[in-house]
Amino acid sequence: MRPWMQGLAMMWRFLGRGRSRPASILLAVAWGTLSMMLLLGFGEGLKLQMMKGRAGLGTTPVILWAGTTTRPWQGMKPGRNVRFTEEDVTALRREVAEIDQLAGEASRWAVDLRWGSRSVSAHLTGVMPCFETMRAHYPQPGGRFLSDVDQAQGRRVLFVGPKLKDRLFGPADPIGQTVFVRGVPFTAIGVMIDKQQNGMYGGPDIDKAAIPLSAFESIFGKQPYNNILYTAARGLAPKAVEAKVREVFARRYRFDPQDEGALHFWDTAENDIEAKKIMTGIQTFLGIVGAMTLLVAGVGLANMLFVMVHRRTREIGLQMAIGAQRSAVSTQIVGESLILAGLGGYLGIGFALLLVEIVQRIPIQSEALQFLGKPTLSLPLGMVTVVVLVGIGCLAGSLPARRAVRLDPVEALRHE
Amino acid sequence: MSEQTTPVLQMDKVTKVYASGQITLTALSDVDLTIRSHEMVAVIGASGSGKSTLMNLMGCLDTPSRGRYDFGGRDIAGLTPTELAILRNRSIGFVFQSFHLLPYATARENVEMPLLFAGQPARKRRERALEMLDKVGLSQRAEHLPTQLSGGEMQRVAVARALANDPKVILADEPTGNLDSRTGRGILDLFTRIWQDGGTIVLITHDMRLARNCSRILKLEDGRIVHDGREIPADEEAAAEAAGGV
Repeated sequence: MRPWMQGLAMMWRFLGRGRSRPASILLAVAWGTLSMMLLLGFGEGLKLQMMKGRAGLGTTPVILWAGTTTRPWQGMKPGRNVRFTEEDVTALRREVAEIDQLAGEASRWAVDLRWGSRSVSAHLTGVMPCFETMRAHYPQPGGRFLSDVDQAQGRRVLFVGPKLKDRLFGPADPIGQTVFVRGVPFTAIGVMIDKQQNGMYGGPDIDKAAIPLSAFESIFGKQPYNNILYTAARGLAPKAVEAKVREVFARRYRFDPQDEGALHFWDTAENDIEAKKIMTGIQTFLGIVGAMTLLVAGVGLANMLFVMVHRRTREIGLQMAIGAQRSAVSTQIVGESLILAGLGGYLGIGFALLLVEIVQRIPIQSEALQFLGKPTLSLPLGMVTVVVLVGIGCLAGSLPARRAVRLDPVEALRHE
Repeated sequence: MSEQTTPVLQMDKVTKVYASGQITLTALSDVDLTIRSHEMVAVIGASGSGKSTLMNLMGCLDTPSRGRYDFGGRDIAGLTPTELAILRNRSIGFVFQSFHLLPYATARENVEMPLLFAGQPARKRRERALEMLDKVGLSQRAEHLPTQLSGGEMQRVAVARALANDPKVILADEPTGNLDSRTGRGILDLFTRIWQDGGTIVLITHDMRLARNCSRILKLEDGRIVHDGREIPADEEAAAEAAGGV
């Protein structure tokens, strides 16, 4: 049996026997790993939630509102209102090739919806079929979103957000049901998949009802759109399209193309970039906090291991007196440090998994929690944590071990 | 008789000097000493006379500052730490005043330790350890922890551990120093029996009764051997009697 194997045999036989230190070391490493994993896990959950919320608004469209001119132009006074019409949408489609998806949207607050004896007041929008992707109006299985035919024929079909569905239908299946919108009968054809939405206008989509724009106009009469939405063609920045859109409107409504008040652009992609920056910031912060935690845990671990080895100086002296070779002694110490650090690390990962499992089973209700999202553990990160701690353990064990085996056995035996 | 047996260890003008900053302390000076197999040697002397230094040198726990030390015919000056460890493991059995048992290991496991460092397989270790514990009369206590043993029993475990690898010499540093006289007597009997069975023993002691049982008595004073013979030096005898008389 080689000396290092003798050391392993010694370590294995006496591991954790009659000493309180190993337990505290195990706990310290477990705690370090646990906090590290939870910290980063919550960060990851937050990120996923933000990404989900971002997707809730759709494929980052630009949302355009009509404003009021603020500059005199070609002999006309400022203060004229711009109003969006179907012709504006047609003109944009014709003149701005860089636009991909394009739609007008009309909406009305507090519209009375009635199903059987139940009646609710809701935000009603008249939208185009492209909202399905552009504004993430995805239908739940069993239903569908508004189609081109619905729009072309002005069909009286209704698509509802999940929250509104609960308000109006309760647990009943709404598909195929007749809903009276301001007294006009509509057929419910789909319910939106529940979604998290960070940016919104006119309230969250989950509490709105959508009907074809054509049907909307047949009920309420032709009126200016509330807003126009578009997305830039693939690979183009929406900002680049903005100037062209502005030009088209400036020509049609005769205002100064530089007039900031006439049109209001909300580039949701810009929000997206902001959100990404914030997320990167948060993650960097969490990463730094995590690294600090790891450092503190590492220093604590190193200290505890050092003390553990120091307390065993006499024992090491004895082992050397009765013929243990240096490698047998150092294998014991380093091996023990490694096992304690490794075991503690895996214990920490286990606890983290358990905790996250528990947290994930809590149905998210409060808005704060909804924003925080559900902690998502990253196993590779846990592994890295364990590897770092094991590395520290190895180092922290081997330094005093080296010192101990170089010690004069006589002196070590006298050590108190 | 001892003249016919082979030398176990030989010291030739061995000097040990401890240096601490400016101050140097000569713990042993020009010690010439031969210990042959089947001797039972008592080393006596006042505190600070160099007994422990001599013991550490004999046990290869320390190396001489000057002079030559041969153990089993080999000059230890040329040995590496690993070779010294192997030498201590196979050829020397230590018994310490404060027992030095691993507190969390059973009596048997303590006795097995030198066997483990000798590379013995588990089954052989176990058999040998139980055999040794039986030899010191502790076969019933093999699975007890040191805390469950009396002082005398702990020292018996230490003796069993010292015997485990069948060493050329047993070095005992005040083996009865922490024991009451009756228990000390038992340990002395144990050493005497080992000696009669053919063992070689070097004892450091203050206890004249222990010394009187030995085949040879060395007295150290200020790092020099001032007495080497079969009898206790007269002054020590007188002092012991005076102490006994009080």
